[in-house]
Amino acid sequence: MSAWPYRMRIMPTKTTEADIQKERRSFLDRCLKWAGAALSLCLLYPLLRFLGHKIPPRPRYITVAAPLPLSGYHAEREFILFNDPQKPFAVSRTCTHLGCRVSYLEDKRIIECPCHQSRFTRQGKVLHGPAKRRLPALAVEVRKNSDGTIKDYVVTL
Amino acid sequence: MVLSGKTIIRAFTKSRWGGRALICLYISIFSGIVLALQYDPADPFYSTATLELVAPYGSFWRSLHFYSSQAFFLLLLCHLIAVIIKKGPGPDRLTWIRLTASIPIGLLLLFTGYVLRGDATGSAAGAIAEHIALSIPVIGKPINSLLFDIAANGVLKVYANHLIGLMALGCLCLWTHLHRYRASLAHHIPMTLAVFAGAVLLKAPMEPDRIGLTHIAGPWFFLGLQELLRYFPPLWAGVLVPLALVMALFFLPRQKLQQKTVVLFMVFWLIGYALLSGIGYYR
Repeated sequence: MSAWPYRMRIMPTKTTEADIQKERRSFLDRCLKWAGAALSLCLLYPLLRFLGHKIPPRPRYITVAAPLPLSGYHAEREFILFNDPQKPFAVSRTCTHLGCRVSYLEDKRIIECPCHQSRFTRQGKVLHGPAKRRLPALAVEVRKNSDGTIKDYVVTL
Repeated sequence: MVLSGKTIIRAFTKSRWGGRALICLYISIFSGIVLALQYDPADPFYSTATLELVAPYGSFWRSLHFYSSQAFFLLLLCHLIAVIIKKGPGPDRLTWIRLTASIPIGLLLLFTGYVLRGDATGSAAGAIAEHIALSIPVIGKPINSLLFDIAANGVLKVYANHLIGLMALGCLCLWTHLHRYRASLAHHIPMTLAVFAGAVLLKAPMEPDRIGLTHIAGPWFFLGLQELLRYFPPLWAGVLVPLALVMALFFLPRQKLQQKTVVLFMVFWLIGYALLSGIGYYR
């Protein structure tokens, strides 16, 4: 038996109170759905902003005790500290090409990356690529004893 | 007796590479679970060094995991080559892509294993991978955040992906295939013994970071890419060039005649990569 005559039999010909209520309910349902979608969209913005935000790492202070070795430099995992007579300075050990850890070559007085052999001056200036940007310089604070001798160096990361 | 090329190819394609690869995968998963019970991603190098030097039989378990994983990948490649020679992709393109996706996933599993060592090679490889991921326009950041994020989180995400993410993805790719083709340990006893003997006799590599380190050679499969990165920007050398090979594999034509051009491209690509790897190795 096809559904057509059956549907015809139960289909009301006039709009009844029940139909009006049903229509009202479906309208309210639609409104609710739209409101839900709008609310989700409103929530999406703060959600994406929240997830996209990169919380800056807390600054770290690494203390290097004085005096520095006679070679004039001290290498830590993340930086190399040079004991310049005028002003001590530190450069990052993260290569600006692809992030490998650079090393100081004492005999050549240059900094070199072991992955692709980019070369830098002690101050971090690029001598030879593939790196294009200089090594970041890091702030160094020199702390002294009461007699004026250097107590230690504090490097900010 | 002189062996003809055809005889060698026939013997190669008839060999049970898939079964061998599967047995190695089982050994790799088992030894990986054993290692994971002691490994601490918070301090990767210390953890690896203590596993190697202090934990009883730690060196054996590391070697077993390392060599079984390497064997799995190499045997998987042999299996793929044998399938391409024998019949090529089946009629269902999506199934072929799903199955061959296990090659880049396997490579990523090997790679993340290297990074987890946290030694000089591992740290450098991780930093390079992160920079390569970040070089991809638009989707670079989410990809890096999903796979590596080493600068912000150490090896935590790499560890999670090595253990769960990539393994789940690999299972998803291979599940129906492995369900259909079973492998029994009893059929691969010589190979299993060889893997165990390798684990007993050979040490898994580990290179501590040293001041004044002038050369780091990446893992064997990464050497060509490392060399390429010397001359080209990360997006080209690290993403588009490897992607070309993966796409050629995914869309390998079904007809033998049409396959020729794509197979030739893949062979030349691999020869070029091998040459670059050789240069990188002897640098």
